This record gives sequence, structure tokens and C-alpha cells, in this order.
Amino acid sequence: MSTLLVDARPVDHPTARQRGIGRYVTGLLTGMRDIDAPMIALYGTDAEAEVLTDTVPGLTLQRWSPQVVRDHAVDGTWYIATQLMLHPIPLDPIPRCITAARLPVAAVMYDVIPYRYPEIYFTDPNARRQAALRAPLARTVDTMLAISDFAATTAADELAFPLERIATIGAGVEARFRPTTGDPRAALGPMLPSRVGRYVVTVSGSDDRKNTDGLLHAWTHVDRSLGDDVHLVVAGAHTPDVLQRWEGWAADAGVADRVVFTGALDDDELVALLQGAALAVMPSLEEGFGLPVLEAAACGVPTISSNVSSLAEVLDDPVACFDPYDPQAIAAAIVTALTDESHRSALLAAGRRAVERWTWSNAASATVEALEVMGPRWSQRTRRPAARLAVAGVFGDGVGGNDSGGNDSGGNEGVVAALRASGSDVTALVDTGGSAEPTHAATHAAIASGDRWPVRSLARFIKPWDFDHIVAVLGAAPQHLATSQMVRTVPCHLWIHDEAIVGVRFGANLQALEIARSVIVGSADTAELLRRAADHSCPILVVPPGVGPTESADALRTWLDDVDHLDASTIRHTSPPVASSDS
Amino acid sequence: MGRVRGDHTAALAAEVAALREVVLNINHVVTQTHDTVNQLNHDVRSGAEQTLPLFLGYSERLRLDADTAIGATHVIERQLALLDERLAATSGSDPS
Repeated sequence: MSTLLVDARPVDHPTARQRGIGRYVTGLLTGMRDIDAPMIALYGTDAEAEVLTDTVPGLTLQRWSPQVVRDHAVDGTWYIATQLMLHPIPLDPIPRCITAARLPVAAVMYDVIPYRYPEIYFTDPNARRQAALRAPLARTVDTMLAISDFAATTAADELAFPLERIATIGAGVEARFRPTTGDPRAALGPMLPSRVGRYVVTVSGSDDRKNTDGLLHAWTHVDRSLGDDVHLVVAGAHTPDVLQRWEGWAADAGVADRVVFTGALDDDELVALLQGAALAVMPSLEEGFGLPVLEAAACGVPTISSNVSSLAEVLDDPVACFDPYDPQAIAAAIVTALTDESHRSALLAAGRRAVERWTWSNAASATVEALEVMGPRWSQRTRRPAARLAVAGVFGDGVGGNDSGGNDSGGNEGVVAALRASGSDVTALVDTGGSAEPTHAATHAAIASGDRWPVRSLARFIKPWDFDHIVAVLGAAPQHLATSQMVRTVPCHLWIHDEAIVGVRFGANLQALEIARSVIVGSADTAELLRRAADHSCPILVVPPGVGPTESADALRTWLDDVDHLDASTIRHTSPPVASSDS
Repeated sequence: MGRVRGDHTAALAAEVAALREVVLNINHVVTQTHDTVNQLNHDVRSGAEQTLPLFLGYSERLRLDADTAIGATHVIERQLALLDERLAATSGSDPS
């Protein structure tokens, strides 16, 4: 195996970070680091890099870019897609450069619970459509890495994916979940009322599949002779309507004085709550893995769980399991686990075995082994994708029959056509300014083939890191509105065609100059003006008026090949030569 | 197992090219839709309080539809690339 390129973006995703997927990715990266796997964690933003540096120090980190993929596009490299099951699909689970390099893809399979219960999770038409899209996308991957055998078999069924191409890699538990010799109650403060003595804890969400209703029913069968101070503690944030239903039901059943709902709690509080419990109960009807079971066991608490879905796999011992559909059986399991010391010892032993078995290092080792054994699904020829460029600006006649930005080089479409003719992979980012003219209609004649997007789609529908270079062509015409806005936030190569823009309008756009990777202008005078105007200097290329599209494209291609290696003070002149070469 | 004739390969390649063009047009239409919804959002917020909730519902639906449509193009693009690869393997040529 050469290299594992792991998508690390979910660690700071707005919805995934606090959910299982963000934590799972962090854990898997930790395991890969610990077994010294040949792995690179790919991030998209500085915030993601910061999270990764803080939580998994020692990782090999690289920002997503076509160049990273190109550098590792050799036989034996795998891409590990960690957000295939994260909504919505435009999160870009398999970036285009991965497909372009024909790298084999292994996707982490967390669960297909929404597919199994569409009447609950797919009530929104859009959710149904996205699910319908995800299935064919999943079928294009080479291998799935399931977090449990249950996730593997259900994914094979629901997504019509060959089961023999799915490996179970399991999961692990964070180091913070461990036994304590101190007093965990001290960390809980007022979360637990003073009347609470021994307590049975369950970590649950609001979903019906968590079976908290079943546990509450079971609690009515737990004899009060165990002691009035024995409580059931339901931990987790719950929606107000669900909480109201549960509290009302507990009151009707006469157990309200023996049940505590904690509400939202942070990680430290959760650990303390588990450490102080007499018993942990996980009655869920369906999970992808069942991490709360493992977390409770890791805290040294006797733990019992339901015997269905993946939950039975976690503790992997029949003595620790019960039928979650039978409240009497749940109650009996709770009473035995609270009163029978030999049974408690057996539960603790089962927990210790589970904690030794389910580690992030083991998950990482299982990943590496599975990929080595299975190999790619198809005999694809891995290749180094060509450099991918984007040219942003006005194309064709421009909207309203105007010019194409004062471009003397035959228009942006001419440059793009010349670049494409020379084999470059170029995407046109089309700017129609504030016009309502459909961009596909405005540009269809000018660039009838090849990839094209509106400028405004950048960062939303396509990502800046999809490209090696983005060249933003700026003129003074209003149609450049979207381009001039984009260059303030995305580092680009600014190609300033309209000389007046430098002095008249660009003074207000210095932010673009400060983050620009390079600037391309039409005269040495303009180059000097820019050098004086911008706080941050970057290499400057001078392409004088009259240079044709083919020559412009050649100069641009050479410039982009060189620019990352040039000194920031460089000013290069394109033929016809003006005064001097690189300074 | 059937054989793939040369004319079949050519026909499939044409299908791939046609699908690619569809993808490119969706990319543009969706972004334009997204922009239009954003603009309408601003307009409505500034002048039509009574219909605001209804409009917000529609605009959110349109936004999600835009996301889904782009997701569809991502899936189609990947399938096209893999199809290209198999076509090339069948015909013994380099994929585009």
C-alpha cells in the first residue's frame, strides 16, 4: 500500500462535528497515527486544520488540492471517503480530482438507518431525492468500511452493494472515557438532585429507535424494594415535545420521582455521569455501532444492551444482552445487574473485553488489512490528472452585447480555447454581473463544450481547492461584478485588462491584491503602480496589448507552472519584450 | 456474455458526451436559480411581511432542490468517468 488519503473535513463540519461522524473520523485518524499507517489527512479550511492539530497531534496534514492527489496518484494509493453518508450530497464526498486520478475509493459506512425507516427519516421529498442519489454514488466505490457487521449487511441490502466488498472495521472509544478513583458526582453539580443515590444511566436521543419509551415502561417493573433512592437517569438533549411526553408518561406511571432527565451535557459531564453510575443500559432498537455501550464499559460501569442490530456485537456476550421489545425482560436484566454481584462481575469482564477489542488502532489496522486484501474493485489505470485551471470573467459577447472585458487577447473564450487545445483542463467561471441573463445561454455559443460554471457557484457548488489555479480576469465593465467580489475572498491570479481599473476602481479592492497569488497586467507602468499600491507584493506578469490568445495562453501556462517558485518581487515581461526579464 | 461492437462503443461515447452537456447546463441553471431565490428573498423581506413565511418555505425548498440537483450532477459526473474508463478498456483506447 502506498498512501491512504483520508478525507478529514467532517471534523469541523457544522452538523457532523458534534455528531458521530465527526467523532468517528477523529478516532480513525488517531488510530491510523498510532499504528503509523501511511496516511495523509486532507482538510479544506484553516478551522479544520486547527481542530485536527488540537485533537490528533502528529498527523500528516495537507490542504485539499489537485496537487496532493497528483503527488500520490500511483498504484496502491486509496482514498477513504468519510462523509458518503453525511447529508447533503453537495458536501462533495468524492472530489472530482479523486475520480480524475482513478484512485480506488473506500467509503466508511456508518449506517443505513434512514433507508430502513423511510417513513420516519424520508418524509421530506428532498431527503428522499438525496437518498436516491446517494445509493448510485455508493455503488461506484470500490470498497465499504463498515463500522459493524450489522451496518455491513444492511448496507449491502439497502444500497445493492456487493457484501463481499464490505469489510467491518469497527470503532473505538476516546481516551477520556475511563474509570475513576475520584468522586464523579462532584463534577455533576446540580445535574443530579440530592435525592438520587445509586442510578441506572442511559444515553439517549429523541428518536423512537433509541427505545427510551421501552426503558421507561421497563422501569415501572423495577421493584421499589431496591431502594427509593435508586433512579433512572436519562442523559442527553431531547426535543421539548419528546421530553414533555416522557415526563407526562413517567408521572402517569407513578415513577416520576425515580426518573431524572439531565438535558444537554458536555463530554466531561457525560464521562462523570457514566463513571458514577451503578449500571448503564442501552435499550436501542437500531444503531450503526452503539458507541454509548462502549463508552459506558470503558468507564468501568457494568453495562447491558439490547440484543438486536449492531448492539449485540459491541459487548459480544449473551449475559449482557436483553430483548429490547419486552419491558419485563429489560426490567429483569436491570434488577439482576443491580443485585447479583457475580453477574455484575461477568458484565464488567465483558466490558473489559469489549474495550480491548474495539480500539481505534484496531479499526485502523482492520482498514489497512481490508484494503490490502481486497484491492481495487476494477482494473483502473491510476493516472496523474492534468493541472486544473479556472478562468473567471466575462465570456462571449458579454451580457448586453458589450465587450468581453477589454481583453485585447481575443477574449477570455479565446484564451480558454487555446489552453484547452494545449491539453489543459480548464473550467470557465462565467460572470454575468447583475444581469438576469442565464449564464448557460450567454456562454453557450462562446464555450460550447468543456466545463463551465457561474462565478457565484464558487465556494458553494464547487470548491476553490478543486483547482490548482484560478485566474480572475478583471475589467472595468459592470459584468465583472461577481468576479471582483470573488477575488476578495479567494486567492487568485488577477489578470487586470483594463488599465484604468488599477487607479480608478482597484484602489477599493486592495483586499484582493493582498491575498492574490500573482497579478497579470498589460504594461510595466501598471506593474510598478501595483507594486506601490499593494501592501502585500506578489509576482507580476506583464502581457502587453496585442498578444494573441495562443501566445497569451502559452505565457499564462508557463507563468502558472513557475509562479509558486518565484520571488514575490518578480516582474516578468512577456514578448514582445519590453525592458527586462525576471528581476 | 455478449460482445461490444465498435458501433456500440461509438454510440455509448456519444451518450456520455450528451450527458456531460446536460450536467454542464444543470450547473448553470442551478446556480442561477440559487441567485434568483436569494434576490427574491431580499425583495420579499423588505416589502411583504404577510406572505413572508410562505415565501421562506418556498425559497428553502428551492435551495434544497438546487443542492440536490448539483448532487445529481456529481453522481452523474463520477458515473460518466467510470463509464469512460470501461469504454476505453473495451475499445483499447485511452479514455477522454
